[in-house]
Amino acid sequence: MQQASTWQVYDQTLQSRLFIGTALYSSPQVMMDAIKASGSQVITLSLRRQTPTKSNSGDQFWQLIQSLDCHLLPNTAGCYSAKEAVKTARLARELFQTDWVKLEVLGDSYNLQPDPFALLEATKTLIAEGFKVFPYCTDDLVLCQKLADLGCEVLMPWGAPIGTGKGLINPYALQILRERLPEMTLLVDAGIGKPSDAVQAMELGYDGILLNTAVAEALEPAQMATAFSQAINAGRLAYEAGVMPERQHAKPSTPTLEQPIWQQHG
Amino acid sequence: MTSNVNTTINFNGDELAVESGINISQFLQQQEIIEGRFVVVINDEIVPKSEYGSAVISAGDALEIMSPITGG
Repeated sequence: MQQASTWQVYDQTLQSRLFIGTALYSSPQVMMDAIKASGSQVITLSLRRQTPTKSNSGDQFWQLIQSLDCHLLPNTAGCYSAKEAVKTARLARELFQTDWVKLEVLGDSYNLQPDPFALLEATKTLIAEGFKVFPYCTDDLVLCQKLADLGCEVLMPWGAPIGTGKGLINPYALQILRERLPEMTLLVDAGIGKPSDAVQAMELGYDGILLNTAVAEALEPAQMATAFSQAINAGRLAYEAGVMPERQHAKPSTPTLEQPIWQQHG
Repeated sequence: MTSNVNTTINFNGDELAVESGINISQFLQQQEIIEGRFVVVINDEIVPKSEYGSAVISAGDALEIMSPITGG
């Protein structure tokens, strides 16, 4: 199967355009099977107060993650202020030994919408400390421009609220982002429900997709991971091939020259 | 050297009595915390692994152990 072009994410060159989460799977084995089937080279994970002892599962999760040999993208999930997010990012850097951080600063607990003001504040601090920030943001153009001005090389606007599977609620806004920030690496993060949602984003020219729930909550997560992998590759191939322009009126595909006289209509 | 006099700290959000003068290495051993990937935080400050043997836990300290978990 033909593969789409490689791409650059900060200092890394990647083949797979799918970032996949490690949460919500029914078992560690199901998670491992799904991640392997996805072909993803970047996985998201998090950190919490937790004590690895002999009497609990210890650091089994970490052992499994290490065996995948993927790039790690720790998140700051659950943070509602810039201060919390910065603190969590610093801990994540120490814990996972990476400068990459998926920066989440939430402003609303009902739809888990990012707080754009706190996001900018946290981004500014973290970039000054040498972090490679992957901000989880809304599709607001001005916010995204300001994040780019602060030094983000990657932006991750939502397609829809986290875990809803609603797909791309506002394709127009996502298309405008792509057009106005042509050099920026853009991933749709959150809201993807079906492989066709991912294809739609990739055909708009997005560079990649970050998802978790759509695979983890599928009846067959590994099979769904394969479906997403192929869909994302197909969407990117289509974008690179150049999608035909949409027209308002029909245009025959079969030649109309030299038609017999009874088929000549004007 | 540690004594048998107990002092109270906050460990991962709960009160816990520990021996006075205990350092982090001794604390981890007593709590049966296995070798692995985690970060020790005392009063919001990350403690480098190289300091586990010398960093003494004091009364009232808030000690947290942060470990990898699943995430999206």
